[in-house]
Amino acid sequence: MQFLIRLTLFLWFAFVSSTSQAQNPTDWLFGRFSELAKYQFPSSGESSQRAYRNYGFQVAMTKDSSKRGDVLTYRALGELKYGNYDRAFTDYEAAVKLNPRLAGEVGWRYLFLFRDYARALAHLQAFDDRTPNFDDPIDDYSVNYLKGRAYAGLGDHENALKAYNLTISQRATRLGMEWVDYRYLVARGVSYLAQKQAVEGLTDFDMAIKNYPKSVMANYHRGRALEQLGRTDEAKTAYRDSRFFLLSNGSFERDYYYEQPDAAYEEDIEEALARLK
Amino acid sequence: MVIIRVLTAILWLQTIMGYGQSVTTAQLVGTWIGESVEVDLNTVIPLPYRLTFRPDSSVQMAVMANGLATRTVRWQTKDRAVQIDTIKFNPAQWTLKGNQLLINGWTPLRFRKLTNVSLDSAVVGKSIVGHTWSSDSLSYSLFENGSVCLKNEKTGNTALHYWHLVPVEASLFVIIKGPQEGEDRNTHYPLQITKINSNSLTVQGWNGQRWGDFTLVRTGDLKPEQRCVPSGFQLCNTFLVPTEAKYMYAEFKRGRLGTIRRIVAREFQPVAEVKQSGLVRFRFVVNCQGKAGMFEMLTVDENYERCQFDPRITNQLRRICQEKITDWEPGKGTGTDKTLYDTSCLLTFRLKNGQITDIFP
Repeated sequence: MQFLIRLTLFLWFAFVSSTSQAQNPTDWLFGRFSELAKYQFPSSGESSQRAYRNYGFQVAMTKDSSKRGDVLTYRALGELKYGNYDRAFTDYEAAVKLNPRLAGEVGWRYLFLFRDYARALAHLQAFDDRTPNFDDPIDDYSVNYLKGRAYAGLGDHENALKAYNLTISQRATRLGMEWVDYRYLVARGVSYLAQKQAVEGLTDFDMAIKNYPKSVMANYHRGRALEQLGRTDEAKTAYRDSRFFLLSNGSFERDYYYEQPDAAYEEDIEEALARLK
Repeated sequence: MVIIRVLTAILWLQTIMGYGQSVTTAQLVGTWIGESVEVDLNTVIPLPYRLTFRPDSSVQMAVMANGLATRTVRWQTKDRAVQIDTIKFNPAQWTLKGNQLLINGWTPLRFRKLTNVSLDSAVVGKSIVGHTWSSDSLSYSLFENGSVCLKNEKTGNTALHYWHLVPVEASLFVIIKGPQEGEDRNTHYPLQITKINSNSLTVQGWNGQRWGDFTLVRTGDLKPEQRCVPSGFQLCNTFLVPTEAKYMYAEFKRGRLGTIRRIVAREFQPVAEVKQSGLVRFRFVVNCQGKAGMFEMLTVDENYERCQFDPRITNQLRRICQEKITDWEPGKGTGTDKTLYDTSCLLTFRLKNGQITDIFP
């Protein structure tokens, strides 16, 4: 009983204190004054003209060339997010010259955010050459996966497959096949399909679905593989599964900044199903 | 190298610190009308507040609106530094330049000292309502129901807002607020009425580009049944700062990029003799209703040098973006914030020998 009284009192106080904090219309200005007193130097968000100038100043004032390279990549990303490709490119190129270790990150950006596959490949190769026989990580990807993507973007699926094989086999050996990123398996499967190797592609899509059963793109491309193999009924089921996951997830595969290169869309799925009617 | 760094540092300090003089107690006493918040270099948004510093060490803070609660706190200046309530600013953070007060810091704030011009609210209200008042660039149609139609004379765009007369001491300000959905947000730059006669109105304030006196001429009379009909692209956040409203991942409703690629494949006609390569990038705003406008284009060659693309290519792409890709989804807040916002979006086309090879946000 005492506990209930205490609980009631606590809830009542919590309610009263939350409702009694009436907002004053001048709260914004008062809060801004507090911030101004704390942060005395003008600054603006990434992509702003001020951020561009501030980073430029930071570059001029930094002695260590590798740190200068880092600052240039921050500035480049802000510019890239606002579509200033010319400025971003200049900074990325300067950053890699100052700090060759950044070639991997810059290659990643060229690959997904510039769709400049040739430049992406050159930078990724330079990064990979620094530590031969090791599948270096770049953010949450591996260098060989990204190289595979760049080759595939250039239409060179033979070399794409070699790069995908390297990263997938190394991961499978080290951690087991169930720990291989399903996106890697889908990417390799798609390259197999491009090379008319539907059986190998199907194996990859099956494994990708095992690792992530709700994948829209893995199910869709599995349908494509089955269609290539003439297994029409199974293909229809795969396409329907793909549609089901697309509708039930309310989304398709994407990174925060871009759609997965192998993403499947409603119209692709509907078209495939109509084709098999 | 060291000399360059020192010179850069000096130039830098000059640009980030105020140029004016530190304020004294005597200089601050009086009423200051909010002018602008500097959100970026060369970008300001309105600051619809006023501060009244009294000799008894109290300062009243208020929104430039009628009937809203004010806040009164203590203030003092000591060793060139201002203190408001418990907030201690640094020496020289508040500076004066003429009658302009600059509070430097993260986002610098500017205020102007009020010069009172005594006017009768009832008389002014009666004189200005029901008429259209125009400058070279903008016309204001002030309706009796509190709405105001702002027409951009250059673009022809017409936007619906709301207006009030707000007295501050003996002076009167025209306060325009709100996007068309409601009048509780987006207060414009306060305009102080300094002179009025039957055919012209002189106001003092910001016109979006500069602070000064502007004469508005009476160019029309509004009929009682007349209403404001907005036209052209409307922003929900009148003072949108595009770099702060980035929505990197453009949401296109059904099918996303897949659909966009299909639309472009259907609509784009390659021009045989054009063999240019590079990027054509469109940056635009998707407003909170899912409509796109404010298109800007950037074209770069394969080495990312700015270049001119053949207009037969760019005009087609612009037309496709503006007229065919129209089913946008407005940007949403994150987490529990379900508010719809105006957002700045990108759509980029990579071309190789005049053919589109990639489309990406």
